[in-house]
Amino acid sequence: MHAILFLTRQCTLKCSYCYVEKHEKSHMPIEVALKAADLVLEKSVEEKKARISFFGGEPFIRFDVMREVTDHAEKKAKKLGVALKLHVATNGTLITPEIIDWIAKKKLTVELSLDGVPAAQDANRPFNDGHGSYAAVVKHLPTLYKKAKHLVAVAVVSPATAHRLYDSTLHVMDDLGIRNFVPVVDYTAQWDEAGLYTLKEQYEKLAEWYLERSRTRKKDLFYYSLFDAHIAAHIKGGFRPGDFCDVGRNIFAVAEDGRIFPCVRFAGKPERAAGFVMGHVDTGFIMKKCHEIAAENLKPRTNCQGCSLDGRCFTYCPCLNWDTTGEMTTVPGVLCANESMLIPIADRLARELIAEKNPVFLRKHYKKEIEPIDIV
Amino acid sequence: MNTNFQVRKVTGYDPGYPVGRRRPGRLEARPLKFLFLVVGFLFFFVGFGCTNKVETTGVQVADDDNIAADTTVTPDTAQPDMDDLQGVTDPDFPLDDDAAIPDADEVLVPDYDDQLAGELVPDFDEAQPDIAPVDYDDVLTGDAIPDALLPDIETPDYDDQLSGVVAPDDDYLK
Repeated sequence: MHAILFLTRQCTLKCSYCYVEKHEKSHMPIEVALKAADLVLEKSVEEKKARISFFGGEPFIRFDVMREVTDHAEKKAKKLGVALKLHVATNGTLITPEIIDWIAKKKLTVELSLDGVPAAQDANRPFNDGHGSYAAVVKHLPTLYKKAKHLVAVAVVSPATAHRLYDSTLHVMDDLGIRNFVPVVDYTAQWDEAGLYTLKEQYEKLAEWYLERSRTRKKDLFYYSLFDAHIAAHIKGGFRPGDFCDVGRNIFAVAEDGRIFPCVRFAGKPERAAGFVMGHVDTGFIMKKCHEIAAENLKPRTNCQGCSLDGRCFTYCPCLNWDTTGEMTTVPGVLCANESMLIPIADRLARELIAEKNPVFLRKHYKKEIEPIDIV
Repeated sequence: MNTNFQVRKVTGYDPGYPVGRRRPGRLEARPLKFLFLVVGFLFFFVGFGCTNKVETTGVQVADDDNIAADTTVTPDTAQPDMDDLQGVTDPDFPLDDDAAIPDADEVLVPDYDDQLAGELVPDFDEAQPDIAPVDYDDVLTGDAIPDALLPDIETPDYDDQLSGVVAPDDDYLK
């Protein structure tokens, strides 16, 4: 089971697309955090594996709480015989050498928000006072990348930065050397035809880069989610609702007040999501509500049945669906438009590289040598 | 809500490349077990069951060519331990590990006749004979080697706990 803890709603940045409602002094008390850790571990005894993700806001604002919860959870997990994995989603602005050492020691997976080139990062991810955050984020990046065992960079692609996707990808993966990059299109934004056309142009350029990198750097395994995730989805035979965001059953998010929500976007907007509260860390789960939410999530996506791409595109995220359409099982049209454009490009890459017997590609997709990091 | 776009179903689309994530050790586990089972039975019957020659008089005659003719010696007919055999033969495939058994919904169900006939399709090992052994420094997945936080607990797969953004499994990349 996977628990995501909203350690704070406070953040150092003021990102244009952030879906988390911010409150300056809304922190999760340590007692709530510890109870949340206990809850996920106790519910994971049978499965013998658990994951705790620290989320926010910027979770390193509560580094003291993070440390205490981690130590507590490690001891409890060992006592219960549960294998524990830890994960943090951070904007990187508070990273210090001390934090990096701790991350390395505790083997945390780090999901670093980084939109790419300075212009993209600074445009969408400014500090609260308005100045750009790029310099602060990359300041300790080489050390973080060197010491952290698991690190993935996650970018949000908005209409304002779509035209920089190619440059940002090359900057993150070629210049900064991060080999796992996950650009995520902001489907809550107001995209228009021109914006999607810009994305398509970027995808086509990136396809050539992907081919070239696969062909010329044969020992340099990399994972570029825009293409690789869609290819993997086909090779695996397609995904179904519940394969990932198994809300109501295997994943939950704990708001700073202890209320339990299905996932991060619900907990990020607790007032709007009041009808989705699945329990509280003090009283445990409301099983009827959990079952209700799980059953809803496992339904076929209402507007995707019969589509050849069903199972290939990311229609399964109930949080995103709910956030954009109001229904967990109704997919936003802009997602459909983008994925319909992107998947054939990814498939062309796959066909070409398979025909060439490209070793990087084959190792990545037909052997278990490269896998993505899942992100929250 | 963005209302500029509507969902449009795509029909008749073919990606044009093979489905079926091949997990070494999983896909081959079942055919290997089957193969060893067949070999075991053949060994049992050919090696012991068919070596005693008996004349019509009922007097057993020694077969100079076969030490098994001495029926005073009780043959070792114990069924070979399949797991032992497999472990010795191919240590890369931990066949005694439950995790190595393919999940029906994840792995192509092999046709044993085809497997024994050497027609395993697709075989990407053949397609890339020059691939060097895995260098874990090169591999992005730090968890290719299990690294459970607890030393006495096996690192699990998190196939079922991914977010809505990337593909499954979290042998993490770095």
